[in-house]
Amino acid sequence: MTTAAKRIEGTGQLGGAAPTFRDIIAAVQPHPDELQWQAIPWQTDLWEARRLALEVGRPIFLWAMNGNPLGCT
Amino acid sequence: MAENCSPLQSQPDAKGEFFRLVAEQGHYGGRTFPTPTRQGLYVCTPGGTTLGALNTRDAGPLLEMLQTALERWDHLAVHATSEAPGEYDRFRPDRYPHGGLVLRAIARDLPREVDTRIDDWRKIAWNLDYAWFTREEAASLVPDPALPGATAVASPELVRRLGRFHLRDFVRGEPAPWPADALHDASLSSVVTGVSDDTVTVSLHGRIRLAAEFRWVRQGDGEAHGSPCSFDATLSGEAEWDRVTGRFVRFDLAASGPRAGTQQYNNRPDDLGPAPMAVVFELAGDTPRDRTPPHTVLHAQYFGEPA
Repeated sequence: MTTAAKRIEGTGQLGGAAPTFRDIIAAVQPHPDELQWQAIPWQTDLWEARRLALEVGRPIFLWAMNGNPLGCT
Repeated sequence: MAENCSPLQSQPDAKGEFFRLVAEQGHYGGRTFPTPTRQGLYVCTPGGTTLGALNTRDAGPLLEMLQTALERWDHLAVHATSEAPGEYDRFRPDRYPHGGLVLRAIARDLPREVDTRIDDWRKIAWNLDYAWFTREEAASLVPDPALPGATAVASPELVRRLGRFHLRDFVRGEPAPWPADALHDASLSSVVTGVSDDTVTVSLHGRIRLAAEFRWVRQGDGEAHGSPCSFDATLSGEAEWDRVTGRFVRFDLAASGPRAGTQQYNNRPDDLGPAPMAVVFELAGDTPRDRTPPHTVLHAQYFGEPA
């Protein structure tokens, strides 16, 4: 658990100090191991992906979700 | 590549037709029950021949599909001669708020004293979305004149969109926006805490309380469900405004507080609360990924008339 998360859970650990917005942001932000999927240089438009795939002579790997896979899904 | 297939499943243009061409050759081809979804992972040629498809979260089956698809690709004789796709006439206008305020939103449960959540992915879930505001809406958060201690009240449109469309409980899924009458208290204000020739720093504070009864019919068996939902969010943050460009160059906002209830698509039946949750906002970048539209951008009232 992050320090920020500890601060939020146990306000008594810091003498009763309420969490700041920075504490909350730090507790919510994804950890690096939760962001590995972002290391892939995703194309974001299927039409452009078609053009690019033809240009480089490769097939298309399409990740299609109800809700954007790169956003809320 | 990655894209939202919800509009692609039905939009009447060349891109929608191409997606459906590929999807109908895949794992959900022809399916209408329990849903017409075509979500999944596909490998296809630029001409639309599907080489592999499945819907899974497991790496093993996905790797197997990819390997099989690549073998099929290697055996294709004509993929290199596919015709280039023509120009694409967008079915929908691009509503990206150029020059406005584009935020990345992260939602996650906050630690709780007594945790009865099931110990699986739901306990560590988080989700990502984007929020779009116009230049004028963003500027409403900057007092004019920008003197130390000066205050400003965010435009009602900004607060409405923030509350109804971005303070949803999307930690575990994709809930619907709050209805118009769900906003019971809504305020966001700023106070100037620092001024230089080039920048104005403001603290942000407010509260947005949302409450509504959600009802839905479960697809598949037609069973009716309902749940009172709420989120009492305290808003706190800080932002830095560039006086030269007229844009925020830093924006950090936390909306936190108790949430309750479940909806059709947010996976909360085991965790009705009340329990603490936060949605935090920061400036998005300018990469293609950071231009992902907000989940609810197609809602008629996202940029529409306030209710």
